[in-house]
Amino acid sequence: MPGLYLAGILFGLAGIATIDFKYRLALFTQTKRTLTTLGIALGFFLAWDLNGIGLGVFWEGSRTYLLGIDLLAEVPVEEPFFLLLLSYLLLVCYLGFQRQIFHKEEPNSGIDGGKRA
Amino acid sequence: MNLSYLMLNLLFTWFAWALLRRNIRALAWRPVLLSLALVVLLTAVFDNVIVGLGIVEYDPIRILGARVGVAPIEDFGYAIVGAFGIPALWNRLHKLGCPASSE
Repeated sequence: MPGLYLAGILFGLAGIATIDFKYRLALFTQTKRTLTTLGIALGFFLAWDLNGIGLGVFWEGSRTYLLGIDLLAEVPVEEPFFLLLLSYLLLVCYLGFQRQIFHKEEPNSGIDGGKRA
Repeated sequence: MNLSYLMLNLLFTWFAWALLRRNIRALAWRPVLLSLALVVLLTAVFDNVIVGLGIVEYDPIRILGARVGVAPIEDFGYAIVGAFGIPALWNRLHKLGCPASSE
C-alpha cells in the first residue's frame, strides 16, 4: 500500500503535536525557537543519512509502502519527515520530562507547573 | 563485521559534541535520561517495523551485525545523539524564545 509509511509518520507527528499543543511545550509557545531547533536537527540528521548512503551502509529498500518519489538517489520523500518526527519527539519528550508532565504523582505539574531552560 | 556504520556514527557524534559541548555539559540529566530511555524504547519498536517491512536495507558487510530484533544496533545512534544534542541545541537557542516564557 503506497503512502502507508508517510501516513504513519504524519500520524506520529500529529500525536506529538497534540501533546505539544496541550501542554504548550514548544511549537505553540516558542515557535521560532522550535522551528530553528528542528531545522538544524533535520539538516544534521540528513547529512548523517546522506553520508551513510554514500558509504553504502544503507539504502532505500522495498517501495511497497512508499510513495515512490525520491528527493535524491536512495532518499525517499518520506525520509525528512521521519527525521523531523524523531527530532520533534526528542524535543517534546525532553521538555515534557523537564516540566514533569508525564509524572502522575506531581500534582502541581501542568501548563505552568515547572520552569523551562 | 565491519565498522563503517559505527565510524559514521562516531563522526557525527563528534560533530554534535564539537558544536554543542558547553550546552551538553550544562544539561539537566534527569529529563535528558528519561527522554533517552523513552525514545530508545520507541526506536526499538518502530525501527523494527521499518526494517521488517523492508523500507530500508543494510549492507551486511558494513555493519557490526549486532541487532535488536531486525534493527542494526548502530541505528540507535540517531536517537542517542539526538537525545543530548536536541535539548542542548534548544538551550543554545534560548534567545529565540519569547521573553515571557523562556528563562
